[in-house]
Amino acid sequence: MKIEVRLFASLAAYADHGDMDSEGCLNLEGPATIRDAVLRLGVPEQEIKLVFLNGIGASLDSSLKDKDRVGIFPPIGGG
Amino acid sequence: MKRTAGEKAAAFICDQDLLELAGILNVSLHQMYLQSMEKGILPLRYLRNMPSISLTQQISLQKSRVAVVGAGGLGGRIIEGLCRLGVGALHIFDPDSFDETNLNRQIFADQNSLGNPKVEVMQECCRLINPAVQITAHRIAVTDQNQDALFADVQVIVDALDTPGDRLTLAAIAGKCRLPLVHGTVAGFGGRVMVIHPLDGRMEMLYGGQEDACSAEHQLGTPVLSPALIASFQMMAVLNLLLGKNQAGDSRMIYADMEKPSLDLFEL
Repeated sequence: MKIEVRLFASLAAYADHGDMDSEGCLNLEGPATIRDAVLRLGVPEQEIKLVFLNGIGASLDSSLKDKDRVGIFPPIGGG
Repeated sequence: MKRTAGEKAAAFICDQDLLELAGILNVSLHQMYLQSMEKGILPLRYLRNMPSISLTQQISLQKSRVAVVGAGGLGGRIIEGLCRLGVGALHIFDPDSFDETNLNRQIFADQNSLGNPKVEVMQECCRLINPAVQITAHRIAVTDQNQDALFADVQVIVDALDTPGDRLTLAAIAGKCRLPLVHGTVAGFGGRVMVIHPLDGRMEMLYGGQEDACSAEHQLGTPVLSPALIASFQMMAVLNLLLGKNQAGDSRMIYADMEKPSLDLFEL
């Protein structure tokens, strides 16, 4: 399956990963969760604060299906 | 003088005349503005607010009371903006004085204000910007949930803080006071805005359990672009709440990334 992964703020640095295509999509085999996707991209779990699946709050354990959109945020606190 | 302004013909009045009238009638300028607008006479300073902000809405704003907690990159711009918009009373909170690291982004940080207490500088500047706004400067940190009495007479609280622990405390206070909290935060060339409703638990989702975590702004910094943008979104949320607009019910998280550029809405 092909999923879109968007890494925000300081996590954007991980989007350069070779497995990501030019459209910001990742190909995953078989059943997978958001955790599998972020592990593939090398995003350290402790740097993740918010996880969204198709625009709605989710968790790293949420299951993925083809064409899902994932959004990952680090903690942000500047003012 | 008579002019046509948006929704209907209205009369206008300049500040000098309002000041003189306030003196003759022995009322505050704040009260004079209100009386004038209630008679359909708009202070000239609000001419360019119309018709995006109607006369009726301008009157509502003049009667409104907002607290802004944190007077840094976000807070300074929000305080300045709410003052220009004509929000009648502002309570502003920050214990700090300006230092050189503020000069990259904080609107009231300059060679003259360095070393001076932020809220006192802002109170003085805002009096010059709009003397009809009553500004109460609180040179204190809001770090204790029992400080809720400080917010007894406001309708909206703005979170312009910069530490997770303080934001959690402020959300608890807003919950206690049953007040909406307009959260904003920045990192790099992006940032987010979200209206947090009393005790909805969403500030905990943003910051719970990570009070000491290394936040994105420590890696990316906070150049002036992001506080300027996010402060504007926060002001829009304040206006929506004060004016009871339909959009006020939308509590989705807005995330804007100017570098990409992108703007997304998320449900949390």
